[in-house]
Amino acid sequence: MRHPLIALAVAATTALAAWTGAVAEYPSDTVRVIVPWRAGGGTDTIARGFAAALEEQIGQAVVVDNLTGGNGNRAHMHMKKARPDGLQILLNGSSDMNSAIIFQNTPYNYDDFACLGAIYRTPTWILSHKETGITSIDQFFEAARGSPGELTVGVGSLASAHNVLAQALMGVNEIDARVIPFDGGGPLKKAILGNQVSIGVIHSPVLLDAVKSGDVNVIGTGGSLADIVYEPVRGAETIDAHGVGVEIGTVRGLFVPRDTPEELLEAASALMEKAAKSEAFATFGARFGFKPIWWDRKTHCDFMAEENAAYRKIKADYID
Amino acid sequence: MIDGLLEAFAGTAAFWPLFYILAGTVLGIMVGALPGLSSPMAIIVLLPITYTMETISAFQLMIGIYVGTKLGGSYASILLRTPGTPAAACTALDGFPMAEKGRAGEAIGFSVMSSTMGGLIGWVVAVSFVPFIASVALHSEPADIALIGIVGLVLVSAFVRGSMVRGLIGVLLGLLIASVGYDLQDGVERYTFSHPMLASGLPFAAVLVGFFGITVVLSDLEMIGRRSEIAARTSEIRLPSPAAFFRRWRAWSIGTGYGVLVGAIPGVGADGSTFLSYATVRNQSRNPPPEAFGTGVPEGIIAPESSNNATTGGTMIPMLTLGIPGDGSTAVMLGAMILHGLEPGVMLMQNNASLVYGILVAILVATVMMFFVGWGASRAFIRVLRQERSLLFPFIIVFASIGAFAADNGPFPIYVALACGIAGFVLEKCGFSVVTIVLGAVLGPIIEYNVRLGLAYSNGDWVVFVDTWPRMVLCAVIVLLVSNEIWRATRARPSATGAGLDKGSETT
Repeated sequence: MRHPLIALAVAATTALAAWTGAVAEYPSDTVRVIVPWRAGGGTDTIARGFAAALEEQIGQAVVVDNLTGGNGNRAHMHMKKARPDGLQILLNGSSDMNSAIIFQNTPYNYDDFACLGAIYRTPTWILSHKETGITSIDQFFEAARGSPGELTVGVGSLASAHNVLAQALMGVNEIDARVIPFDGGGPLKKAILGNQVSIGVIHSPVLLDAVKSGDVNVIGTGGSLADIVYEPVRGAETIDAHGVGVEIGTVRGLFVPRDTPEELLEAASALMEKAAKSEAFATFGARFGFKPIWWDRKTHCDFMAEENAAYRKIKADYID
Repeated sequence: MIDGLLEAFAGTAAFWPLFYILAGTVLGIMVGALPGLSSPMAIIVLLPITYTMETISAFQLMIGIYVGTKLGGSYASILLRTPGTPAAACTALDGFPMAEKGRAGEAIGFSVMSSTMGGLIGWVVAVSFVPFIASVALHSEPADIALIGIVGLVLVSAFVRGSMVRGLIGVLLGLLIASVGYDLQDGVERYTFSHPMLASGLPFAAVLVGFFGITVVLSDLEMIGRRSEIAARTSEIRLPSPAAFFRRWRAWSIGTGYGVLVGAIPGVGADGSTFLSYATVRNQSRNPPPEAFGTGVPEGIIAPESSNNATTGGTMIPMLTLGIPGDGSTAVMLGAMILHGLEPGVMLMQNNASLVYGILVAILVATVMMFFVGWGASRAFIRVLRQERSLLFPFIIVFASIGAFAADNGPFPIYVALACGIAGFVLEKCGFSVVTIVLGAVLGPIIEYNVRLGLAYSNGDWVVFVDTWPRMVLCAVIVLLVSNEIWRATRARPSATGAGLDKGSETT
């Protein structure tokens, strides 16, 4: 009995040493950051800013791979089946993942992935064109109550944080206005700038330049704007003041397959933390509109679960 | 503004700026000529390299690529009938039959000239009327865009004259293809059969290379064994004369006009404007007669090629003045601006005027360079057709597969392309034209999305489609076109046989 035990111990120690070596060497090959959306959008731009910061940390190229198709399904299914070696990292917005899961019966769930940490947080905000004369949520409510069913609320799509915010805000306050879903943020941006909708709900800091120029008003926000680089809008009224007890926005986070070994998760997360807190990513954040954040694995995963539950409740209460 | 442009010209007239624009243009033509590669893809691949470059240099390179790909796309359409983008698809309608007749040199020459002419006039118009173009882009509402799409669809009837039922079935098949995926207004799944990859619809690039590229290979495979027919198709390198091009001023004027105005409207862009200009030129043409279109007439190349390059100026205006992307390339460039520390949007002109003027000048310089590079490269490309045709089949299949793969960076679109190719082959055998299917797939989503959005704006009131002067005019145009078609169809009925593109498709 003695010899087999020794052999087992030696084998286990060797395996552990080999594994620790692999972890110590992380990343052992090129890291790919998988983005489920087309190049040029907000998540893609943040991914490229983060990839540049990560490159500085590891001293080798980091590839951003836009795995589009199936409305995000392709990238998520690819990641679900990917080798758990930490070399492929999914970067997606929390609300993009959760709203797809809740509204579109996706073949994956948020807990199919292990969280590596969150790097960027942008609340969803409510904008109006200056010519509408609407400068606050109360004014919008007043106008909507004066003309039930007449005012319009533009949202990027039905399966989005935009729609969740619009439906919750109107549902809680019993407002009768028409929600108009667009084909993404680009067309909605145009509709807000062209004064074609009464208000528009879109992720901040989209249209920040138009806010600065005074063409567009920020009338409310789904969460605190304390981290935005443009000081005059930091105190914008949150939807919390109007009875919506949850924060609505998107937190861009990093995910790997669920069965990734714990040691590798730790090593990868530590590296992501360095990149997220780097000078390069801070500079990118200042250009994009918000200071970057760093949430550890647990905070990130807890947030995903809380957001999922909150969206489910809003869908059940005000949308279905 | 003139001062700003002159300063930008002076800044561009140096070795490195010209080098970056030239390098971008050459790369763009090569990228465009390979159906698997696209302008946004090339810009994204080069983006990390540009981080260390000066911002204006980075954009000179990107603009070169953007302009070059518009011409490069026509090479694959003409030589292989395998367009990588919808904007190049229209060129295949007459470009490929012309190449098949051994006139590839003329086809490519006309493409180079019309792309340059469209680009130059489009630039002058766009720069001269910046506020107007920006206003058209910003204030075009869904009802306007829907009506423009319907005008296009009515013009399609010209494609199918003589075989109306088959043509309409083709368009309906295209609409069916385009309706797969999540419905944006109601969030309902349509024809997805619970397949996760169909959630955002069939990948359009795959549909395109399938119906064009794979179909043509399958059609040509039938000819193997009939060697005399293949050998007869030797291609001349003779390029067209400038006089032959300028004589066809009507085609490039209409193409350019559509390119500047329609191309500037986000959501329609070059994809819609090429088909609109082709159909308009075809409808009003007397010599050659409309029926000759689709069999290899120069006007069928000049109209779409002048149109897709004319959109470069028009598409840039909303991007530079409003931060609104008109197509995939401008969306990527907006992202690149942020990564280069700029803030794209309504204040870009105010805060970074020198960059805006620099970009505008780069478009003009790239268009001129595109002419010389494109003209010089024509002979090399035509040599491709001098090879025995069966040798080209594997290349077409490979490029079509890469083009499909690139749609989603995965194998699924390749299966879609193969299925569409086989369907296209069978349909062409039955006398249908695959062009009508592609047209339905291009215009269908534009019309459906904007009609429903227009009705959502108006709370379901259809009056929205006639409540402004431009909309009334568009509606009148639709009524006139439909009446004209009915009248022509009635007159032509006794002698009607399959004509136009159906006839053209039989030659493949």
